[in-house]
Amino acid sequence: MEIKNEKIPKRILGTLLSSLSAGVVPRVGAPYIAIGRTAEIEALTDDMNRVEGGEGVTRFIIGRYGSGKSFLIQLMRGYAHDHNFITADCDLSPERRLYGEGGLATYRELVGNLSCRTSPDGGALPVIIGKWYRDATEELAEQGVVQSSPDFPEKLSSYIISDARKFEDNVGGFDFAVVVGEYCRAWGEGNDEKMSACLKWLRGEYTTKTEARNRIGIKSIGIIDDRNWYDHMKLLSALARHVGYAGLCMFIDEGVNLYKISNRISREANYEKILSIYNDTLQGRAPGMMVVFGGTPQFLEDTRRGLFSYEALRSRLVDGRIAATLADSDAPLITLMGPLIRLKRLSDNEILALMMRVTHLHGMYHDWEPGITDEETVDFLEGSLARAGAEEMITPREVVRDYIALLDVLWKNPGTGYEDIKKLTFPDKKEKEKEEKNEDGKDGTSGNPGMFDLEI
Amino acid sequence: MAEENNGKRYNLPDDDYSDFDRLSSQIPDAGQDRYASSKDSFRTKYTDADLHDIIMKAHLTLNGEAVIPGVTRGMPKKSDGPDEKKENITVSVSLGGKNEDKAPGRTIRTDYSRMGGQRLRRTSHTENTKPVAEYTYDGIIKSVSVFPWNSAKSFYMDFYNNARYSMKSEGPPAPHIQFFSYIPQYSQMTLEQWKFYLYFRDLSREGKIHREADASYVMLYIYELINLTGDMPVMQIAKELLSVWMQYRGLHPIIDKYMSEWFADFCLINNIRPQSMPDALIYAAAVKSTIKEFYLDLARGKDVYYEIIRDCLSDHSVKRSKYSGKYENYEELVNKQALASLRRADQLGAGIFGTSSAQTSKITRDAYTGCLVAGPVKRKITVSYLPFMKSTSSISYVAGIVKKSENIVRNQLGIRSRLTVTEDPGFDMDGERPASSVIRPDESYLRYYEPERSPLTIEKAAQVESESWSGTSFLVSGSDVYDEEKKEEAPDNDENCQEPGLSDDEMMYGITGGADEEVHDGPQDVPSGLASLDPVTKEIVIRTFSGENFADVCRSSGVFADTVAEKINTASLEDDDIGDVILESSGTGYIPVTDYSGEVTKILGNVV
Repeated sequence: MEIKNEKIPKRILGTLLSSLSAGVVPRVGAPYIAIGRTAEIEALTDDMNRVEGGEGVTRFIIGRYGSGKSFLIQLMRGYAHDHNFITADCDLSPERRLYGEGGLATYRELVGNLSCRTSPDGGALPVIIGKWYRDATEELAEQGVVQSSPDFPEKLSSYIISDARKFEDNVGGFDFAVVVGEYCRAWGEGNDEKMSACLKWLRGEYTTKTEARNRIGIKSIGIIDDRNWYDHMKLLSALARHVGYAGLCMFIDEGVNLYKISNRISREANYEKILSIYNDTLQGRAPGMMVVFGGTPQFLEDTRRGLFSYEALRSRLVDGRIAATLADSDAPLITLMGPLIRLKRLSDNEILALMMRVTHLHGMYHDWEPGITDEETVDFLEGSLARAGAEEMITPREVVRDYIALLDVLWKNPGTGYEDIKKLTFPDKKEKEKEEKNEDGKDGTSGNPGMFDLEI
Repeated sequence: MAEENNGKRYNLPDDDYSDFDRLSSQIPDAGQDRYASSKDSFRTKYTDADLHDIIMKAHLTLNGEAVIPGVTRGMPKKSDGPDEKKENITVSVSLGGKNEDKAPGRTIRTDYSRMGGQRLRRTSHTENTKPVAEYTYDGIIKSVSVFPWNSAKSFYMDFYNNARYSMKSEGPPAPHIQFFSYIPQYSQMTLEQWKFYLYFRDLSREGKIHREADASYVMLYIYELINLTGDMPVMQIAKELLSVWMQYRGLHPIIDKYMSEWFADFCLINNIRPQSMPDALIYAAAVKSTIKEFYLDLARGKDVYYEIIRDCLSDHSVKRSKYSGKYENYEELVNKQALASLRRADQLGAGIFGTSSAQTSKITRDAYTGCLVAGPVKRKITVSYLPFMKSTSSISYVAGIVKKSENIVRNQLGIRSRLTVTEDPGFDMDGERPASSVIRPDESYLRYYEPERSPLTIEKAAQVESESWSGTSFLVSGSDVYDEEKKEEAPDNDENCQEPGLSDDEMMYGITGGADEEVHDGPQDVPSGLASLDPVTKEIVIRTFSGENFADVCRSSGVFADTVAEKINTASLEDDDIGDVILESSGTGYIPVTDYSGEVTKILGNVV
């Protein structure tokens, strides 16, 4: 098989290895350690193609802790950037939910993390609006109105207003159009204060209408709150498509935090929000929008508290007869046409392949030839898997983190081999006994006096 | 009748007590408007129903006297003065009718009890007579002494005689005729009602139900059966009582309230232990009865025994728990846990189950209270029993077990909040795990998430690692085709097929391997990446990387910072030497990625 030649920017490679050694999912460089998951990646990229064509999609990536949900999400996030998508991602938490008091906090996190290819670390909201502004100025320039002309601000304002009316059909579209238009006008006037006020409104940071009206200077606008935040995400999606992006991908991870809500009414209200998102995207009411939820099997399949406890969602998400039969059989047939992507933990061979890849990247970054053979890598992995409870508990994250630590030690200590470190970290029982025996005197008496030797 | 202290006494003839109109006509203003006032002496504010209720209680259950308080109910009139006296009416019902007389040597004790908010005067009799029967048991009830009803009055004898007279009458099918009476008797029925009663009674004896039978028919039959004690075998009476109770308790739930008392009295008086009584009926009777010990003895050895103790003794109800509605089956789980704990406590003789047999209590009660029973059948009984159902320590002990059971369930459900339990159950309840199997969620779905098992081999891993490069390439380069096989089938696309060049520059990291490795120098004719930027933007990049503020530079150049930043990053991403963004957004604006200072200077310096 032909092996590609790829270049890895220095910053990305360094960030990638740092993230892995810290045990967190890398936000950049994830494709370089993508092992397996071929079918899942294909399914998600196909979804993105559909979204680019104007459809809406909702997916649920479900897997145990450490199975690679967040990794897959970051992988697809990077892919989305490369394919001209805007992305917004957040982790749910006790403070960040989909409905109720945590809804607005989720929105703020999503908008704060709004990113695109040129702003992959978030803060892309001004970029999106700036693109709209640039399009407007180019359009006006074609009409003979350049920025230096005296009637440019007036023409720009009327252009923005007429263009923004396209959003007024959506829920909250009027307010959204007014604020975005006001932002562009403020930029034209060089009014930084008003620009900040408009951005603050778009980020959902006003708590009262009065404050928003006073700061922005428009009397009729409302504010973004716990109830309407999702409508404004749809508006951002529409704006992104309007200015030329392929769409908006929303990644919402750690869905288990909804499962952990102890109040049944509150929990079901959050599940109802998921249901409305699911219906919106798949019924064509959110064109160009892809929503990906990540969560544990309990979050999905627990019939007491999970998504399956909510009948309307269960009936939509549960496997059909054929899919269920295939899932229960040993046949290697899989179907990912449904909204669910069930992630299994990487197999032992896949983890070994990942360690081989990491060895390669480590050598590349530090410009050295890692002094560890494949056999020693296998030995390291077997040692990790043989630990008590590893069968159920060990994850690629822990193995890779320990392995990078091992590589770092080998790199920092030239002349030290894997066997030397192994003796310290995985001491063989027989060798340990042997060492202890060697410390004793030849006649069997201890070299150092023991407790009983001190007795007179 | 003589006048009483606080009102007037009215004689109510025995045979007309059910005729309310006649009764009420004897009371001033009764039956009139609720707010009507009487003459000067007192004021009554009662509706017809109120008076009827009071009079019937007086007549039927309280030995013939009722005090109707003169307190004002409803809105007082403005004319009412603050010191206006409110007087009571005492209604006296002569139970013996014309034959009433007093027995010599009888003592009368008067006590008061609150019923329905009205203080009613009640009299009872205590006699020094010998028991007609005595029984001993080895259960919660230890012994029963049965005394005759030593009354001077021979009331309800007509009913008693009629019951014996008609006990063998048979009834052919007859149409249902509605019948209602508070104390149903034969004399109150019309001929059609009597015919239907006989038909209904025959059906009941055959174990059949007539679904239209009114509660009064059922009660009359029960009265009849009880009054036939001595004329029918007691076992047969018990059997028929149990049968009619079970048949009609669903249609007329009020029967439970009366039968739970009367049936216990009947069994205790006649030394009967009904073994065939269903658990559900035992539970329902025990909950409603004042002599729960009788039903507890019947339930001994069954789950219902502990259910009665749990539900009748505990003053902590799981239904009021704040988690009751939030978790499915929460109540069921707590109840099961409590049941198992009580059973365990009983086995260990802990707490109330360790009550010594020597600690017995006695209670004397009038049998068949509220039932139409003639003097020859009515009895007084003295019951000796283990007192654990009555003491406050028992209540707190069982409540403690229920609370602790709820804590165990909360623990298993992951609820952190706990109830405070001060009562020691007397054994280690934490070791009790009968409910754990019930609440453990079904996690069979986890099989879908198990990793594939295969032996660990270097060759297999190397193959996986090698194949994954196509995925990496697909994800990094933005190719629209995932793997090589598909790529061959896909139409040519110059942009997608373009391979990035591999530079010898030390800041580039080439991933190489395999025999088919090819290195391209990349197009050199047309400037790409940063070199393709317009002069203004290039100047902005250079000034930013030399330390100036990006926003200030943009403002001085008259361009929109966000737009320019996107343009610069797009170019740097496409740049073969960099392949990454060179401006990062921060809270204060864009800042340069200094890792690429060398590349930026080199590229833009050369071009400029």
